[in-house]
Amino acid sequence: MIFMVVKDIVKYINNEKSVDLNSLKARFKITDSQMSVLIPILSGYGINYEKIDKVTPVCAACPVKQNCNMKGLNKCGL
Amino acid sequence: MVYEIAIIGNPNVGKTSIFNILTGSKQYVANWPGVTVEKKVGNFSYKNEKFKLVDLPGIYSLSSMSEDERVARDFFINENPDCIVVVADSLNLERSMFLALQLLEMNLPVILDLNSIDEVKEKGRKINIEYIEKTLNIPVVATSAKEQTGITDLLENIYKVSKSSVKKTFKINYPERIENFCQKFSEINSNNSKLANYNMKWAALNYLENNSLNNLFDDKLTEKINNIDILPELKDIYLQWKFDFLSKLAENATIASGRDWSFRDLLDHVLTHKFLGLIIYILALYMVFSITFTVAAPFSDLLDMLFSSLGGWLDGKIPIDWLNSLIVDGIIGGVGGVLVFVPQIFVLFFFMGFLEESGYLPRAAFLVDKIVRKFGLSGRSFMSIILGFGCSVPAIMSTKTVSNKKERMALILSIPFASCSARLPVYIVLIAAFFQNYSALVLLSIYLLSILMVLFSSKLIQKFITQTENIPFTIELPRFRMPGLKNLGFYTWNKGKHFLEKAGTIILLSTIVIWVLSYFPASNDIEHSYAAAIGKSIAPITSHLGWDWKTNTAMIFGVTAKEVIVSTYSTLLNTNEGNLAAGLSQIMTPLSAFSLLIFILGYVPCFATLGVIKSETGSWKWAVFAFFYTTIIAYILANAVYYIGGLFL
Amino acid sequence: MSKITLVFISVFSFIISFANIFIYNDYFYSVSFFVVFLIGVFGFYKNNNIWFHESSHIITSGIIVFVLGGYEVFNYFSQWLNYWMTKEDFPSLNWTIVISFFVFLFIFLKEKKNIKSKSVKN
Repeated sequence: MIFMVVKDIVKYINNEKSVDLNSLKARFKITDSQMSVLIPILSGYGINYEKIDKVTPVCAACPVKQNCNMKGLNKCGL
Repeated sequence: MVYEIAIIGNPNVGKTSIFNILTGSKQYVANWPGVTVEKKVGNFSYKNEKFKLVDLPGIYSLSSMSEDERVARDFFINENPDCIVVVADSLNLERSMFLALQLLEMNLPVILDLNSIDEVKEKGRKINIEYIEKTLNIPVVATSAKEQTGITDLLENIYKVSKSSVKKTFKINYPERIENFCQKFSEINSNNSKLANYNMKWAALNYLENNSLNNLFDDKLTEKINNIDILPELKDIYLQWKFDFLSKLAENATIASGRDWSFRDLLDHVLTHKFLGLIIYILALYMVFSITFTVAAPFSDLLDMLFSSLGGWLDGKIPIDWLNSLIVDGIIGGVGGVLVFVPQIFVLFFFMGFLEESGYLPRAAFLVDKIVRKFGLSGRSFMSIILGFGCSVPAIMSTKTVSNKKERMALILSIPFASCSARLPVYIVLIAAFFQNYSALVLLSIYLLSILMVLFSSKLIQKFITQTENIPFTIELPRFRMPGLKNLGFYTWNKGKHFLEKAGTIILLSTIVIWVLSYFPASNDIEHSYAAAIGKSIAPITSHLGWDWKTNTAMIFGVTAKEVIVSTYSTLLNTNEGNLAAGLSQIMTPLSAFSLLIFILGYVPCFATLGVIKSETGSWKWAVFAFFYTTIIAYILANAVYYIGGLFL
Repeated sequence: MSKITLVFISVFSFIISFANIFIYNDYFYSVSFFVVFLIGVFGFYKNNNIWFHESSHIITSGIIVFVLGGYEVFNYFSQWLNYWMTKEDFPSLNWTIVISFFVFLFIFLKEKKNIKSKSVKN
């Protein structure tokens, strides 16, 4: 396993405001498995992460509820 | 006695499936006090003992950044459960380990449940359970929620851990400086009553990591703690230790025999390629638009024939002249002119639904992550933009979860540029009239332009907001899956239904108003009607673009709902869809029509969107800003397209 | 073996791409097959991190051609629908797509077998 310094990665992210995960992986030669460990650790440095699998608000938060109660599709949308 | 058991894990690891298997139908849903996070509780019995199982939200860590994480953390501090089941995805062990370690640091009785063990076997891998058990000194169970295996083993362990009076604890050997810090931290806080409920070592480590408990220390204590050591340095040492420990644990725990692969991996490799992925995505969109035109066109023609014959049959049957005109030219011509696009709308939503439900859209969002970051947005925000292709209202609502405030504000004000489905009938009519041979291509270019407009607008707005927060990383690709036909049907109907409802309400109402304005004061001279007067009033700023008063009036009324533009055209040109295209080609050149398309793409968000901008930003000021901002940008672009296009045509 | 398949995919899709411009005047299929051609070409650039790199390019190009085949069937039926209603434009099938569909089906199945054997070997 390649030894990685978390501190350096954090420094790099803070300098390059808009770095994405793939570029980070390529630059520091981070494997997928290491990335999985790294992501929650980065949050300790205030570097947040967002999921992209769920963006549609569910019915409870939907402003157009009358269109949002179809079975099996708890999604807000017109 | 009822033992309280908590079940926790990362999102999508099958936590809820395990919860359902254990509790069966004996469960209820409530909310955590004070927050909207859902709380699921169930009961079960094993070996004559009763257990209460609490399903905690799916989270990655207890760092308490989000509401979900705070809820879970507070639960462990206040409730002190008898046993905690950490459900981990066996295929992605390392991701779950961080959470498990945090719980162990809190000195809680943890059982690690390696779920989806069947998939590990399928991939030819093996997990060294004994190694994890010995390293962490906790019970480890392998289960498969899908095949319902390992459940008895899990129950037995829950039983043992809950009954045991001496809880097994994990003794972590931290680097010396960290141990010293924890020791001194305990000494300093020995009299701090606010920390009575907390494990002192965990409180010390939490202080180092992100200090989410800062309200428990007064200034004097804070000063003393900060003087123990150089804290930023200690934090680096601590988190580096965590990283090394977990990486090593995950690496040694999984034994791979053979090389694993899945269709998902194969597809992902190409579909997330920075260049190929992007052109495949554009191709997919092009295909959807192309199908929208080819498949829906015959149905649309059929509806058109129906409305035409209905109008023809009714015409002259009503003795009162104005009523005859209202019903035939106004209602049937206007509303019918919009309703003929129902097939297109349904077909488009069906295939867009397919892209979304199959997991392809989130993949595209991940792909453009790098590009959109240059515009100050994240891949996650791109999903909101795509959502805006359906309707701006839920798209703006979905920005609620964007944690970066600057990014969120820019998104809220820029999403109206995402081409919503209400504009689709207008595009189709104009494309049918002027760009018949390149229909899918023109539509594709409008949608791509729409994405560009959102991106550039976000960049522009962010220039005026000062904030230096990082844009969050985008993670988590949902798995590819074949969308069920039932689900797709619901998706399509849900979205299409709204279009039909609008036709019966706002479009009908607007059509009647427009008919009245076009019929009076001179019933047979539309050029001198009120509608003409309204349209002509803004002619000085539109006539150079080749838009006449009918176009102006249509656009003014389009503010209520964009579909109204089509019904207004139908009423004013006194035609329905088939002839509408012919009528339009009489009053405009293709270049004027293209600049009109661009203007319609951007101008004035509908009332519902303005309302949601107000509620999300908390101020009417921003709704008014959006009103003028979008219109001015759209007007500038329409002019640019007209004059630059004029050089080539 | 995978390399030969990639060469075949690249050449075949390039020909189909051009055939669609000159025979059918269909830019959509032309562009689509050009994308398949690119997927084939990019497959030659070795990616040391991923052992299934070549297979991945072969399988994905196959899936894209299947989708295009499905699209053609859809298109054909909607042409019939249109013909039935208007009695204009007699429906015609794009044969290059039909042929490609079966060619890629063969490649796909062969590669699936290949990758299965590769994964067990090591």
